Amino acid sequence: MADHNDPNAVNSIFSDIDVSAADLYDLFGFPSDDLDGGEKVVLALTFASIPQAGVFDTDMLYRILISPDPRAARAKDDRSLEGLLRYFGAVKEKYLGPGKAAEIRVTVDGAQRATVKFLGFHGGTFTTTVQTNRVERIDAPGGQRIQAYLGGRDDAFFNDLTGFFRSINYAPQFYRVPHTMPSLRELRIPKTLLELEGNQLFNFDSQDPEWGYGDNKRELPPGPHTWTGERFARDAQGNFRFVYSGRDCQAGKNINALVFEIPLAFLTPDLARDRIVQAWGESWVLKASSKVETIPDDPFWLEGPRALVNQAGEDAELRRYKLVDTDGQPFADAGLSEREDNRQLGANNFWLAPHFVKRLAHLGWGFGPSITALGLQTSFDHDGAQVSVHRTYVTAAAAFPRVIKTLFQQLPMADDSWNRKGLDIPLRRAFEIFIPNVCAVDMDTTGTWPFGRRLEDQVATRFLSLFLDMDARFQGKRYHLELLNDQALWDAAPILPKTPPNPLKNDKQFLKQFPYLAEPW
Amino acid sequence: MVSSAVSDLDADLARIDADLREPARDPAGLALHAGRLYQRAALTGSSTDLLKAEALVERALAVALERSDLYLLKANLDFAFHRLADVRADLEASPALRASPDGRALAADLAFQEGRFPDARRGYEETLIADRAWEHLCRLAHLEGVLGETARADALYEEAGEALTAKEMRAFAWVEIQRGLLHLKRGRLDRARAHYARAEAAYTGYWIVDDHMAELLAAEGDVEGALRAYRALARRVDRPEMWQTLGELCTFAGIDDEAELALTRARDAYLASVGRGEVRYYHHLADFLADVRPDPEQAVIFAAKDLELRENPWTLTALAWALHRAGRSVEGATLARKALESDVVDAHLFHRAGTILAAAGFRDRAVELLARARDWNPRLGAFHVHR
Repeated sequence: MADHNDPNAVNSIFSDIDVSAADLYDLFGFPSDDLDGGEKVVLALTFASIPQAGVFDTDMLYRILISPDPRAARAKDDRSLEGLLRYFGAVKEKYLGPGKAAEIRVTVDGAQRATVKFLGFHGGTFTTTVQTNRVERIDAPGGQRIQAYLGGRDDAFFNDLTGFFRSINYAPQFYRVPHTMPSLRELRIPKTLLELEGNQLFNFDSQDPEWGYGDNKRELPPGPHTWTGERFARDAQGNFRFVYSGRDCQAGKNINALVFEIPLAFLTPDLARDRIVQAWGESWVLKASSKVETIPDDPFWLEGPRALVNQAGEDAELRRYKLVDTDGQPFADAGLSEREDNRQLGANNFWLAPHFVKRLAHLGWGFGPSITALGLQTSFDHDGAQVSVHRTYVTAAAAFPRVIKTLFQQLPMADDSWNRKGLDIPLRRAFEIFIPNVCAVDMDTTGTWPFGRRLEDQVATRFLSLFLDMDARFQGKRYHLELLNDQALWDAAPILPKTPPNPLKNDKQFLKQFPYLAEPW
Repeated sequence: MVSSAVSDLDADLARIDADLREPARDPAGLALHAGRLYQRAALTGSSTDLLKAEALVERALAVALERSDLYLLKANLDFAFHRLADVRADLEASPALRASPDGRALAADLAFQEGRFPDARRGYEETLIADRAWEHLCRLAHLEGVLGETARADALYEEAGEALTAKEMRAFAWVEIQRGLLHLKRGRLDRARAHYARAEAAYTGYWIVDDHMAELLAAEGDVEGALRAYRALARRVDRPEMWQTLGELCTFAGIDDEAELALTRARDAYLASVGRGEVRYYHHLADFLADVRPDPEQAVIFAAKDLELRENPWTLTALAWALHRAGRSVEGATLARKALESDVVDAHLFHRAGTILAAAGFRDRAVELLARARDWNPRLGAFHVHR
């Protein structure tokens, strides 16, 4: 009598969520300074160094999808929700989709030799194998030479991750959140850049300054996990307390990376037209059913209806894998999609557009009043709120009026160095950056964010700058994306510690030549 | 994969044991250790690890601030020990657990054990809306299977298997065993073998796979092969039911001395469990005392105790069978009829009910049930394990 069916006896409750080789960290993309042999784009996908830096998990498959396109002409300044949704629809039709993008696909075998497939490129479709952990030159059928490095490196991201999680009251960074209570991640406390008076669940603890760093977590106290205060915290001198510390949480950490330097001529036949290289990364893990050898001569397998039906029209290799993570823009998932697994859509995140508007407004109610309190101007309309507010929206229509400026304002750069040819390139706007979720490298720029993403870009701080009113001025100069990285601003602000939110540079110097990312620790 | 020097199970055990060597400094650490011991028990089949896990959960519950995870673990332990009232109390104690997909699935499991199949179905389906995880798919698949919807059950198991990755090969092996079992119950030994072979390839060293493969060998007529497997399993896995199966197989093969030793060992372990106040082996004892070492009056007592814990078609049939073996077939027939009121489709249940009803004088119904049993599983007479 098999009256027991107990999958929980097999399921690993309380298993730690191991850092997985499927966990993508960043996608960097920028034009190479090396013009020998023509223009080239550098693309680097980084992910957790599991099992270790320089050693790849053989159950994984990584993809870098690439779509060269013309720079979009700037439409008239339509700031309506309908216009925004039309934009999303037009971009979807025009640029992306699974059938359009070419891709580089990488798997690594037990001997740590990588199979690299170039699929659907103008310069050809071909497969090659390369050694890991060394620079390899790959000759394409059309004669273009591609450089590749697949291996361990220093983590090129430098940011105060704990500070970011403190700003959004993200409990798992500070507490052991029960398996049974997934809703207790972002607690219902206003997001903020300045500590909230009495927010004991997240405010800095001078008795335990390492709390929230590494694995220094506490047991989650019983609820309510909310905040009932009315103001930002201030010390006796009237200083606010910054939720950020400027500390580099990624210091000393390694990643595994797939780095390619690819001639633009390999990507497109029309180098003059296709000046934007859009790219995003995906991680896939082998399905259990694929790991087990099938038994082809057993008639039973010919009777499995689902297996046969699912084969129609799908990529035979990808069918053996399961999509786990995607990465295009920094903060597209952590900041704007709440890291939900079912939102791992990569470039095809168009259906998230209404959510993007609602989420941006939710963040704005947190960060906007913080910016105002510091004496700065915000792009978010918070009705003069004196303190951060926890507010969520059911509809994009309700949220939209609050974020019109945040969405549509042009984002000035600190100076003109990004536009290295002095061309008439429109400044990017928030809605163009995050949907679709791709790294869109403008080949006529330096590729600094948001015109791509260079290794040395402090993107975490630039992301916060979206909430600044770019029409305002600081010390006589118009606001720009680098303003919050300016030490002078913090020196003048009533805040402690007096530091930009995130470190200004990486813990290890980047290389001047390929593969650009620093050697692993 | 099968021939690797260190089995997958041994590798997992080594990882768990390494975790357990780390001191548990706080309630979260205690919970983690308890969870690891629970996993260890699943790997080894060891009741001792379950008991150790239980003790740790109790310690952690006494000091923890947030207890929902601990109650989830406790509820799973209580399920493993058949303490259904305690499972209900665990769910009551933690609103957070009750509201979570795991909690809702456990509540549906309770409904299943209590024979409330529509409630169980509703619970599983609602859980799947919230979390279409492999383990919840398997729960619904199991329900579909016992209700005779073999194809639907198999499709759900297949979906569960497709949701699993190469990092979850033990779970995949378990799902393949469930799929094989579906076919074994229909007498489709070749299909069962195909799934069991996949399970064997997916995760090496797993006693659950070896157990089912050995049962299949016996059903296929390879009694020698099955004996070899069960001798190894009985030594390796700390569970009395393994000794019972070995003993029954020895009896089947005419090896009476070995059968006697194995069955005595099983009986002693069952009774020791009862002596400790445990209820988990009531069901096995009822079976054992009805058929293997006949003591029908005692079988009636243990079957009645099991029925008191959970009234479902199988516990009803077990008591009916014990009564029949005690010469009280008319009383047994009443319970068997009640068991048949459910929608369960189970050849073994039909066969037992038919036999009881025949003895009680209900010949037409008995003939119909015995035919139905043969239709559902043409190989019903083959060796099978009491699970």
